[in-house]
Amino acid sequence: MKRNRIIYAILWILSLIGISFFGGTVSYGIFYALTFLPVILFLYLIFVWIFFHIYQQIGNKRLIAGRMEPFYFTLMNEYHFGFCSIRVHFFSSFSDISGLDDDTEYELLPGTGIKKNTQLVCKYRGEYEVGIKNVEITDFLRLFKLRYHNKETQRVYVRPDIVDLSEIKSLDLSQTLFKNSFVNPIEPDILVRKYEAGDDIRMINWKASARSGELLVRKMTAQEREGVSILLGSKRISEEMADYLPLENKMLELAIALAYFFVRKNITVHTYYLDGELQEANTEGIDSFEGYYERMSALAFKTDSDEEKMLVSACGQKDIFTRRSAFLILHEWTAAAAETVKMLRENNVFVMVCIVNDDNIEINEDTNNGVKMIRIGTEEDLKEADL
Amino acid sequence: MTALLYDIICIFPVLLLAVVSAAPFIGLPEENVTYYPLAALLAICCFCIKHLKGRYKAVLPGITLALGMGVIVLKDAEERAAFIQENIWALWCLGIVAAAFLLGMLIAYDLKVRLISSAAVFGLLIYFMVAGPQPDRVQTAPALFLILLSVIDVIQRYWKKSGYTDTKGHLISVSPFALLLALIVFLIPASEKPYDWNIVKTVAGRIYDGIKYTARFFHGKDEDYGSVMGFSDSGPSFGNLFEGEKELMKINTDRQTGPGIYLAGRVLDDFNGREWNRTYDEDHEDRLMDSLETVSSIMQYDEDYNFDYYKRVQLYITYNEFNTAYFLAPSKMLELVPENEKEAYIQHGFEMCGERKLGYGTKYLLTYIRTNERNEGFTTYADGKSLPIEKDIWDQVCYAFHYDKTPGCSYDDYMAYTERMFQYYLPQTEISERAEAYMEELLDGAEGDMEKLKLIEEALSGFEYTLTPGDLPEEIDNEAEFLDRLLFETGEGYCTYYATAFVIMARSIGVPARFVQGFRVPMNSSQSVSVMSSMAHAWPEAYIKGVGWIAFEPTPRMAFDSAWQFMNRESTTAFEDRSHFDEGKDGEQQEDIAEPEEEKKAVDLRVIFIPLGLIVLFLLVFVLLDRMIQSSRYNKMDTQQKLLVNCRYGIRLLRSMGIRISQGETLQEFALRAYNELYEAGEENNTEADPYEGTCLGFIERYEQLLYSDKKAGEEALPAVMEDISGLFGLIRIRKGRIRTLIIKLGGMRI
Repeated sequence: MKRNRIIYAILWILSLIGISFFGGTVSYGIFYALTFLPVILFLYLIFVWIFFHIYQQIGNKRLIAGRMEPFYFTLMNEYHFGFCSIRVHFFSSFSDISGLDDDTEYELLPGTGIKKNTQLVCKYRGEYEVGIKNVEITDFLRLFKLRYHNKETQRVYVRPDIVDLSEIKSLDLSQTLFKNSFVNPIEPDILVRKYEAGDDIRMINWKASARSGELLVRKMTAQEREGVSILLGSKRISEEMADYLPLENKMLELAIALAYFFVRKNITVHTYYLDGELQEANTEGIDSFEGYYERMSALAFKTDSDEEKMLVSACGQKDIFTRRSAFLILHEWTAAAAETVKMLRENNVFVMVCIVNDDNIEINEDTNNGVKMIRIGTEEDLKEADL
Repeated sequence: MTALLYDIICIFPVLLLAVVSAAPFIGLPEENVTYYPLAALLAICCFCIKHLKGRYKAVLPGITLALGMGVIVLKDAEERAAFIQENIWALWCLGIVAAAFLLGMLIAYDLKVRLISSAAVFGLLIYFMVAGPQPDRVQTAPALFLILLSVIDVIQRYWKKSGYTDTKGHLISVSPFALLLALIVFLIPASEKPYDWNIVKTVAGRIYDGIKYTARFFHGKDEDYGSVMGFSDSGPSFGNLFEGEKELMKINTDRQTGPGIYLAGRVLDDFNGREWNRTYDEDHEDRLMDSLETVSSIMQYDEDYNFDYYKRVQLYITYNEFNTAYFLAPSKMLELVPENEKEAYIQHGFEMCGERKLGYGTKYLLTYIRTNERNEGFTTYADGKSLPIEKDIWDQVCYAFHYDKTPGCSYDDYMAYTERMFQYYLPQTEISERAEAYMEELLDGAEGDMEKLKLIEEALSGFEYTLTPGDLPEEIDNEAEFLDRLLFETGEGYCTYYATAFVIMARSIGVPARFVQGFRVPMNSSQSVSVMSSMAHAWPEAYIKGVGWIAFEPTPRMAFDSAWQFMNRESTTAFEDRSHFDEGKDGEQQEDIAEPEEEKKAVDLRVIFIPLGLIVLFLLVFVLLDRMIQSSRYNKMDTQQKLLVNCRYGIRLLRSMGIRISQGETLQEFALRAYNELYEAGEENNTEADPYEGTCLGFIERYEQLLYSDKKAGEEALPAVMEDISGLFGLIRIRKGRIRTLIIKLGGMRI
């Protein structure tokens, strides 16, 4: 394009020289042609801008982060002139369109259209625009181009992904249960049951199994009434989507992943977060997980939902101290967080602190004392995280 | 359609170029109006031959040929050769169109040919631009269109894109914009002369003026003016001078000024031997009085031919690089109107000063009286004017010039004005005896003041002109010594010297005179003249009572030949009586000559019927030949091919009844639909063996078998199909009528 413009400029200057020295139809004709050429090309671009239409369709408007959805778009020429060069650019900050190159230029003859079937992946939970972001059109002499925003963008609501954690290494499942001190595990009348697929092998009572000749696992007592607590920070750290979307996505993803993990083991999950005041979302089993998931997906992160305030409010709930485990999902490690951990430990609650942050934060790990602290990056795969 | 459009946009410019360019060379008769329509018709024939299918391609060319032959045949044998010779251009037209069409096809379908042609056309355009002759716009526009198409094509070929990148489609779809550009080139007129860039120069000049005005605003008074030759606000100076050159102002005029004008600024009355000063400082309308006096005098002297003595002229003056307090204007000024109302003037004697400093951008319009003082007749008038101006004349002139109600313009004011002139401009003047003797000798024989002043002027103009006469000696301190030095010692000087000498000499003979400083502006044929600083000048003016102030030019080589001729007083003004022109030689009225009666000719109907008959004959022959060829081909076919042809014919017949195969529809579905449309619902003609038995649609099933089955149809299938075809014709006759049926039959099968 640059080369064409240079050639055009040289020709126009030569035409000026031509009319300065020669009169007649040729010199003036060439001058008029070159002078009016940009006007004609601009008119052409205006026509394309008016009559070029994009039709986009996503398989499902409610998407889940990280999962592919069918995405179709049609570039349509609805007029009588050809469109020489159409280039579409996609939203790429929070979504990916697979199989398509931003550099491809399309030509459309009158009345024709190009349909593309592809896949859309939204990276983060939230509500944002996906698909074609802007359009770049070029004239047929490659002198000028016009770039404009797509007037009809696609807005989607993306829910966080449900990550299936197979195990949480740092966690001894028995720590999620209330240990009935009146039950002595070495007593011959220890409570056991047959092993079922999916039971944690650490719960196998080998002695009882050896005696009976079949695998027996310790029977969880009062597990329905204990459960785990998840304390989730819900502060919006920035006004920029590029800053807060990945973070909020990862925090919610982690909370949901943990909840899903425990729910499948019939362990009740109590999730606390701040939304004006302290809110609690519970899920007791797989049946109620869907509702829990919807609620967590719709959780609104706000700038005034301070994590310290959430922790202080949560500490006011006596129940969290009666549960055996608590998971703190925070963005920053603060004094309030340390104090909460301390209080929880004093009540013999196993604590896992997950700091979702891309910065290298000093982790004060104290697993011996029943505190597990990990840092998870906003782009880190939870399955590969050191949970 | 794509191919046709593509050909049109590629070939049409070539055709147009060829036809228009060849027109002057093929001997077209004057006022020929058929050349271009014929070329258009021939071009359409070419397109028909190329794009129509089958026998239709020959229809229009055949008709055209028939018409042409018919025209020739109609002529008598002895006239035929002459007719052909006279219209040989038509054959040329045919050849040109055909050749251009072929070339256009090559250009359309071969990229190399297109590029070479475009380059050649561009080269030719440049050649004609430089060497001439200039082509017409109707040639330039299609040439540029062709070149633009080539450029678009080349760009498209090297442009990597996805989608519908077919070159032909691309060119067709963007050609309207290229056509629009060619149309603009065609419509906008082109000048024969190179562009003079006046607008750009004007805009640049205005920008430059604006910058200078802004700079002046901050710089204030320019000190250079103090040394400008001959003129400055501080008074005239003697001694060596340098010539500066700046554009001080611009004058726009109505071309009545003559070869030059004198713009007076300072008007000085008192000379002490070394410098001039102004003592007359009274605020009267003195310049106006001077003008009114002159006009009144002339009107009193020779009213009928007053235009021989004076003219009324208008000037529009714009100050540029000029800082001054003065409005410059010719001495006999009638009216001065500044463009800016705030720039009003105050009169100090004959000087007009602005209320505030005047400078860049000062503009004013003035009207003044230009006198014919260089004409001998004027001298006679000035010296022969013995009677004083009468009051009636004065009042009439004031009324005519709309000054009758202006304060200070009454007759009494005029009388007071004349006394002031003598009072201030004729002080006691003493010259040396030697100068007196010189004057006596010079003016010997002269009677009137004007004649004497002319002699003084002539004498002084014979001296030497120099810008470096040397400094005035210290001992010169009176007018007599100054005059003696000039007349008898140096004999050289510049305008200030000679003006001063004239004034002294005029005063010495009792004529009031004054020293005027301003600008001597040579006027050219243009209406706009720049006044440069080098035009600064000094000149004397003398007052003749009853005539007014007269300017003289004693400086050598500076006089303008500004006289205009007096009108011939003896020329007749009677006109001949035109009515007598209509009479004959002896005064008899001529009779109107009757026009001879024209022989009335009968209209030759052969001119109409023969070509029409030829066309019909041609069509018939065409159709017959076509049918014969089709028949011959059909007979040579085997059964399968005949079946196929007939089945397709049947499909065409159904189409003529409005029953067409839809996209994606199978033949079976089509047959069912056709059945439902053609036959009443409920008719049970169906059998499992042949659902269309009894109808004309059985051929569709056979067509399907022909297309998709390996099994060959038997010989009995053909008569059945042909029976179906006959049945279809019956249906067409019922639905569409006999004429339509006949037309379709005449069309025949497409083999």
